[in-house]
Amino acid sequence: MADHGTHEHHESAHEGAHATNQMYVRIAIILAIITLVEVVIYYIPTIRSVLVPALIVLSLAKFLMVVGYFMHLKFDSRLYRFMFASGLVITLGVYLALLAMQWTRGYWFPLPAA
Amino acid sequence: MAIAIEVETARGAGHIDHGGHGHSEHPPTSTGLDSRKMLMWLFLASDCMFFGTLISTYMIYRNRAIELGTPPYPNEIFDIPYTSVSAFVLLMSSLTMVLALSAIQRGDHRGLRIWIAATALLGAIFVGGQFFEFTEFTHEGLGLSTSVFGASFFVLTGFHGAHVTIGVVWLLSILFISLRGGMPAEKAVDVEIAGLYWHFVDIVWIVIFTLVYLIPYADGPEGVVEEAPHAFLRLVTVGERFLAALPF
Amino acid sequence: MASIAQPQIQAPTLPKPQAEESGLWSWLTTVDHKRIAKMYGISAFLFFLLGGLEALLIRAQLSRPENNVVDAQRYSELFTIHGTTMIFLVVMPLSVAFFNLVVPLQIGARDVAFPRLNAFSYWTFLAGALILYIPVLFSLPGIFAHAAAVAWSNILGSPLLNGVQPWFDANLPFATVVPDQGWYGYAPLTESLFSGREIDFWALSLQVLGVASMAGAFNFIVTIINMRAPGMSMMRMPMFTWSTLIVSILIVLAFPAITIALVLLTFDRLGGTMFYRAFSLTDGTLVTAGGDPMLWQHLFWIFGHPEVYILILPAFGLVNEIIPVFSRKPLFGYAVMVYATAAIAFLGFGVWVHHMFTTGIGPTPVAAFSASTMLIAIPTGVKILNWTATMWGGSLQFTTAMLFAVGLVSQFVIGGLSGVMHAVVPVDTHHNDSYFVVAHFHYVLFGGSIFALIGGLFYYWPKVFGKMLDERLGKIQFWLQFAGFNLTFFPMHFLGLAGMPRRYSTYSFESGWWFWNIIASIGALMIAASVLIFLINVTRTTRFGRQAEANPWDGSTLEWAIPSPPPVYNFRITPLVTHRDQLWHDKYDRVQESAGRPDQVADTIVAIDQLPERSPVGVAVAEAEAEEGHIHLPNPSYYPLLLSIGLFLLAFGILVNNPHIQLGFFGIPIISAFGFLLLVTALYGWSFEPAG
Repeated sequence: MADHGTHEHHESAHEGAHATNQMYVRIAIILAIITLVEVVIYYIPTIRSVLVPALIVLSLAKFLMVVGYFMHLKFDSRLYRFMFASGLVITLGVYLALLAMQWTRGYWFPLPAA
Repeated sequence: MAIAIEVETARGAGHIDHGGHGHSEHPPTSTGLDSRKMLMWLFLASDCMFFGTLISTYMIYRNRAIELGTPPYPNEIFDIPYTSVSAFVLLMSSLTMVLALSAIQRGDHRGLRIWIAATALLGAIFVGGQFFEFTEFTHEGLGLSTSVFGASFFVLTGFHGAHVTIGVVWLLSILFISLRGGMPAEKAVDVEIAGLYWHFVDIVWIVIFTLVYLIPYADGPEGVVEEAPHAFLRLVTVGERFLAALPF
Repeated sequence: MASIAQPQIQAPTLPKPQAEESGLWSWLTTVDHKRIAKMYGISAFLFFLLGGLEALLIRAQLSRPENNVVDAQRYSELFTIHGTTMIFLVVMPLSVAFFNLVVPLQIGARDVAFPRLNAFSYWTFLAGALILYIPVLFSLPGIFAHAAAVAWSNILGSPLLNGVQPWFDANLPFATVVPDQGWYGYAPLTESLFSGREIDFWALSLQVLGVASMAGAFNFIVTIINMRAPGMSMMRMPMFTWSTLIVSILIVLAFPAITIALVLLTFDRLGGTMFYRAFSLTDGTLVTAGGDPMLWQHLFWIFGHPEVYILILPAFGLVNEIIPVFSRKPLFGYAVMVYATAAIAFLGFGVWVHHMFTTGIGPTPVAAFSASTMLIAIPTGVKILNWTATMWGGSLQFTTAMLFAVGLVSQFVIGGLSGVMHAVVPVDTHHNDSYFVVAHFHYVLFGGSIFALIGGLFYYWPKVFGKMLDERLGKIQFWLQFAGFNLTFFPMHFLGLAGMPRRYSTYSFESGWWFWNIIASIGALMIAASVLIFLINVTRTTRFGRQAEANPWDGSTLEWAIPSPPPVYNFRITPLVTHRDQLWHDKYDRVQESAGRPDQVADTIVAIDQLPERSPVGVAVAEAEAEEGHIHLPNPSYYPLLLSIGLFLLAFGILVNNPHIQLGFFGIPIISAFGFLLLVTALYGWSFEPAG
């Protein structure tokens, strides 16, 4: 078997050089803490009004950390970033529009009297 | 039989495909990027659309059971502490996955096997937990045909669970290959591709955990639907039942 | 021209092809992109004939008021199958046939990035097509026999038939499971309350076809990004390759929506859910179920509108190849063309609601999507301008391929304009579900896609088969098809404005629609005649056709640098790309340093094996191969076929779910279980099989 790992030959930034096990563990601890915060604020009734935006920001942070560090996207080729981002952007654009339409449309079938 | 020639050229795209595919594990390509890894990234971009469709369907129907007054309601049956543990398990499996990759890149086969086995185990625990959760919900009267809330919940989380199951099978295959001596450090990209898939499944759960479980549900026609009572207490009960269900 | 010092290497010892040259087994296990292209092309053309036959039956039924060629049920089945066939089994696979044939040659590669995935894509396409067509093939002969009998009695006046009882045998297997809900399958018509097993056949067929399309699309994206010859930067890529790349991205991002939509539909039908069901029938009363038929419409068109561009952009790509070659000029505004194609693809995800303007969706969405629909006309208009400007001042050669390409430009303008009309909501409301819409989408799909694809057949026929199609017959075909097409579909504009609704099996004499309908039916016969001429042309060419040279049209892209038909390894030595229209550069610019019009130096002939330049890396590989005694090509494999058969059985088992042949305890249909086992086995066999 030939051993030509692309990362050995090419300049495209790659794993290893940028991320260490220590860092992975640190990231995982931060992720666990964020999860804990998410669950805790869920149980605090006084901040219900800002709960939804807070949860979205926190989960977005988790999302970006996993993608950026565990999936190496922060260090990997820009092409991969472009590919994944285009999927994400199209998905978000299309489905946020869909949700906006569905949520504001109201129901055309009868709901039981409250 | 496979030979590989790598010639750097002085011009243009720099790194060249020399035509025939499969001369080596990593044929040089126009971009210098591994073709299979690129395939996985493209699949993940596409998978965003798959999950986007399912999550939007859920978001459209998430309050429908409450609005129509067809119990069980989400707030009643969701067990946040239990699911938090599940989410935590999956999150930690991402850590073990990335440690497995790091191990094989250093040529540490023992490390690879340990961390891959740990990842598969954590994944299996997650799937088992989901199976248990589904059984619990069924006992409480939530089925596929109870309400569109139930249907979209089961289809969304079931689709995710299927992804995790496939991932576990994949990881176990890698473990098996490694134990047979077929996973040298040069094939680390095989582990990396499986890892990308695994982390993606994890980030989907990060989204699902927030949108399905944590974001509060509407007040129903019958007034505010009560939260699941004694959530922490329930966790203990659930844990005990889970342990009791284990065959050993 | 900076001449690269070329190492003079002797022609290496003749290659020993690894794959068998002929025989059924070699075709079943082939991973050669040229063979897969042929299989795609032939399958798609057979379905084109079947879909055309269905269209003829529809036109026969509509040729007179209150006709009885087919009854209402058969009519619904015919237009459903016709639409599904033409979209999923003709235009898409025919485009994929061109992707397969042209893209690896244009980028100077020996095959696609994942040859086995490519084979899997074809076999899975065939599996999905079979699922749809098994019922059709059982019922179509009866319908056709009945139609012939009606025609006989109409012409001769002797009643062969008593009444209008159709010759349709419902006792034939599968004869009652032909889909009849229309190609976009609106809920709640597809719910189990209103339909039978036919929807399951349709849904699972589309599901399997989706797997095939996505597998192919992933493959082509990676191929185009990663397998380009040295020096071929993205902006040196031929326009057809660009089209393939962008269409593949569209497929990868659009098909998930329909896949999930169909999964939800299948759950509704087999699992008792209510995703698309607003009401359910319990004990004879309607109860609110909570589902929403609008969700189906949204999800379908989130897929469906990008799908429209999936159908037309490959055709645009072919026109981008044909028009410059026969105008003897490089494409006008290459970069703008690339950006316009990308813009169409991106905007294509933001216009889907214009299919739903009449659903009462509300003023805000209507206004927003009306605007975005108008916006998407701009990049499309840019393309039309670029083609016109390419032809402007060129030495036009009206070969058959060029005629079809120019045919697309003219006909697509008509279809495009009636499309923009529908961005205006009051107009759309008037036209909705009328024959005007039928006219519109046939102008873009037939006048657009099919014209260009047939033009592409004429253009690439010499490259694939090594024989020149007859130009005289080709021109007759074009003019007959052009006239027949306009005769069929232009009157439909009038019919639509006069209020004739689509999908009705008949109309009354008093409606006054009979005149344009008989004209349309005559046009349909002319189209059929033109297809017949094409078949004659193909037969004649195969027997007596003139041998094609490597570059019969004096094309400018790499595929014309190698012999016709191409050898199994495509390029003996991977070429070096220095310019966009590489062959024209090599042939003309070297002689005349001005990068001007190639026709001025058309007499200059450079030996074909000197074209194009050899890349150092290609030379190194070739030398090593010569030493080794054989050329590296991907090995044939039977796992793709096995995997597709597994997928087919898995789906088919669900459809013919027979309570008597289930694994009693689990209640699993035994055919599906076997299919799943086969699938897993093939997947593991595939993974452990050495690729090259």
